[in-house]
Amino acid sequence: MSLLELKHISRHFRQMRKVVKAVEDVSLSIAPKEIVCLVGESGCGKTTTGKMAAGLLDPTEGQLLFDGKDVAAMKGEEFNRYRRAVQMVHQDPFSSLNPVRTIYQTMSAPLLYHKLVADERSARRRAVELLELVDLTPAEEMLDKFPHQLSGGQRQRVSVARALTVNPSFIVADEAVSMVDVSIRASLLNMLGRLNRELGVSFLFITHDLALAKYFAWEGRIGVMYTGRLVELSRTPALIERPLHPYTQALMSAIPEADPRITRTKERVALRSEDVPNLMNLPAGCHFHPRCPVWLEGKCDKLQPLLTDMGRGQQVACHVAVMPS
Amino acid sequence: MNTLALLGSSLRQSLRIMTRNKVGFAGLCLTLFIILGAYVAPSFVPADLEAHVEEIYEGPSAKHLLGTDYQGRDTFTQIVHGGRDVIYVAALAALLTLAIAVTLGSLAAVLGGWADNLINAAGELVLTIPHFPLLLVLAGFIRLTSPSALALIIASIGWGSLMRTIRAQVLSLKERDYVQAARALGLPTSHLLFREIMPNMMSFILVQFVMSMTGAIYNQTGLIFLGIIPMVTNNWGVMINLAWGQGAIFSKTSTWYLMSPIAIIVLLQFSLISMTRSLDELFNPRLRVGE
Amino acid sequence: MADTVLSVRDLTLEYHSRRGPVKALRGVSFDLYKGETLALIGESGCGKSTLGFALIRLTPNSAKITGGSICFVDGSDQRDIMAMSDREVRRFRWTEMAMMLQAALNAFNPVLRISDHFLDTARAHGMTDKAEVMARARRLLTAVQLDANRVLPSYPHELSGGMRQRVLLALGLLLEPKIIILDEPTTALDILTQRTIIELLRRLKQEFNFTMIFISHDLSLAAELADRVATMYAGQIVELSDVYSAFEKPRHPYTLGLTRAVPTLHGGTEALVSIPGSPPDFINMPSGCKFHPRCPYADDDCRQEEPKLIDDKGHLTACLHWRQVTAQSKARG
Repeated sequence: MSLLELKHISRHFRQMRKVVKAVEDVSLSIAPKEIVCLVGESGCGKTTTGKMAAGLLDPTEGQLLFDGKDVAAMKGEEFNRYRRAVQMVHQDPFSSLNPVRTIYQTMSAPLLYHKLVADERSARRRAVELLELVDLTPAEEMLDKFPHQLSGGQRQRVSVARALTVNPSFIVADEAVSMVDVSIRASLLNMLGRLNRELGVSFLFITHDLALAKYFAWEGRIGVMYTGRLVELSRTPALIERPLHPYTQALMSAIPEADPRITRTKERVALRSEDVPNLMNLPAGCHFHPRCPVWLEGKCDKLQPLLTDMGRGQQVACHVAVMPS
Repeated sequence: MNTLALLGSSLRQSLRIMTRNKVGFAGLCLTLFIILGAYVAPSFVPADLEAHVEEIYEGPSAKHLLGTDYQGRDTFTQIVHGGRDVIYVAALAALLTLAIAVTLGSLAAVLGGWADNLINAAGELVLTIPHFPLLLVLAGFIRLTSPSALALIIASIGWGSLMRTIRAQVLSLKERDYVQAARALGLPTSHLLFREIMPNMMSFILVQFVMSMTGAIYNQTGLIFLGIIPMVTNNWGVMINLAWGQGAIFSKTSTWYLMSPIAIIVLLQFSLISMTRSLDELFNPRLRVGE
Repeated sequence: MADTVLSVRDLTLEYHSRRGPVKALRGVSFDLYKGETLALIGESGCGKSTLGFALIRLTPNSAKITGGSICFVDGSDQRDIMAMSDREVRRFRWTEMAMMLQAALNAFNPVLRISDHFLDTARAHGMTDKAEVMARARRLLTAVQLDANRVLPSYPHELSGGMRQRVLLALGLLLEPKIIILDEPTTALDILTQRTIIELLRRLKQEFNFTMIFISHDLSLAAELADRVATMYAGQIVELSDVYSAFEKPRHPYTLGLTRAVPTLHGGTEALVSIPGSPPDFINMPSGCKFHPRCPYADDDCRQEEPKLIDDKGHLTACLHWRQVTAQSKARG
């Protein structure tokens, strides 16, 4: 039973008479307690997809289903339940917290508004609990500070704690650790992993760092996006060991690794072209075909491949990959 | 509202922040001096406004610090007594302009859709209609004898541009991550506007208030000078009108009568504008709490 | 030992901040060998970018170099960069040592064609022969895998980000500098574009034989390109070694911590460990070793005295307990 499902979701917008398909026909179903990472390069549509999943952007086409029900059709209390159940953690620790409000004010607002606590005193207590949950200690001292008095990593923790105030079952984390120092990222990820295991929160974790995605979603799945489409969606161990889509293969071979022996002996996939596709002028058929080393003339430049289940928890949208070898 | 608490409970901090910019602090002191002077000094300077025909258009002397006017009355006394109305109208006009602009601007930005279109159209209308001719027409219908009425008229004509600025600011702040997060948390629009967006605009609003004041001062002075406003009390603007009409520009000693009100108005404008330099950082939490 | 091209000794730099003087560099010493690639690794605020700018004397006016020396060695000729006049430094820059900045993708003049950029740069450094400059420009653009015929007459906005980055590399090499400093060359680039730039840097280095320093917070970049890695912390170099030792047998707890905090794609799946705490406040530095509040090996000695860089067979470490650290990293394997 899926918790959150994106069904053929698209997001188009108009720019100077042309339609830009930022996200096109993405279908993704996330189960309770599951971790799914969405990876891709800039412009691939992963952030837009995340915002649609979190209900901050309306899809141009397709449906967002929460607990099986269409969110767009929800009203009143039903919609409020969805609104509280799905939260978002943003990338930039500098703009994710209101600079003129203290940590306590930021956290108590949802607690008090939704009557999750009885009064200010219990709001304070609950805020301390949540800050401790995200390993921000000494929590009591943090409450009356302003965001600028906290480090980037600490601010991200507050962002997560704020999301937890409404007891969500699903958190969309958009590059939540990218703007934090390298040495701190690990503990943030470990904390999020703990929230997943202990509180049962599902995660849609958006990142451009495949190595990070592998680490965080090892028990879950990774979805690879390219020019607005989902080109591969697989269980993480399978994707890392046996990437099916040529783009995924290219990505994995291109990523430099923090280990000289591995990275200097890696085999590189050579792409046919350096040109990054322009969203306003996408190639016909499979968007990746102009760069794809294994493309089939006559097929890949004419027909859009659809996400196909290959078994063993792997799905791929590629004409070549689905052909029997 | 927590921003007022921020300001009130730490007046001393506010002062400290304002001293950071030398020019701004000088502007603040001068502004306070002029405003206080305009309201307090009249109690100390007797308003002897009887005509002394033998002292017409005298230059500055120990008895008449700024000379005399076309009726032999002391210019300095008139300057001291002539500020109240000007400042009052300016402040009230600025306050009203701000109230209208902030209300309409935020509504337009937050509601969007038809409300936005409607408010924008109204704003454009107000912007395109030339002010002085309109006031001329209005003056024909309304008796502009009370300063409050004058302030209201100035405000109702001048909110167009400020509304657009406010709207732009709110639109931009609306997209900030922390506002989006508040939205995701299910917090209502009123919270987003008053607790998340507005507090981040306070410095901006304050600066706009001061700038509105300078605009209102020009407006009313211009109106009085053109003779559109009936001259009930003897304020600085009226002095300029009279001085010009009475040919004060033609002799060396009489120009003091013309230049004095102009000088004090310019000084007030200058001090207001300089003061805004210090206002920018007034609501910055970084400067209020020790790091 | 290979030839030294740059010799830095006890470089200290201070700048004035609102809260007081900040010692951004506190006695940096290292040698740069001819033809090598040195990676300066560290996190935000460690001083690596400041060091890069200091080497080429491009620090902002509020910063002052308060001590130390930077010697540029050209054969038998030694020149102290600190002692050069402004004119000499200007000539020195770009012809002997060039720096490519992080935000440089916007460093182009939008109303000038690329060919004009080349001509201007050349003219500013005394090369007035247009034909020669253009010939060199063509050669360089080809070396960075761009079509010179297409790029030269273009305006900057007509080129993609990746292409602009490559033009910048070509511009930097125009006057054949001996040393190139790159500040975060691959940050903000997409993975595939990053890969192109990395391969390009490799090839360019082979073809043009320059010495390269690159500054980055990205360890994987160091793993890719560096011959030696210098780790910086709180304004000092805390470890300097060959790249394999840096990743497999680090001797400083900070370097060890960094390698354990970064995931790899093809490595194992062991847990990542963060370094607790955060970088020190430069106004309020801890006593003794600046890393001790975050260090699992810290003891009273560490709190009292600041360790100097100890040279052990070419592997420099600023840590009193380096033997312990290296034993631990060896055990990990």
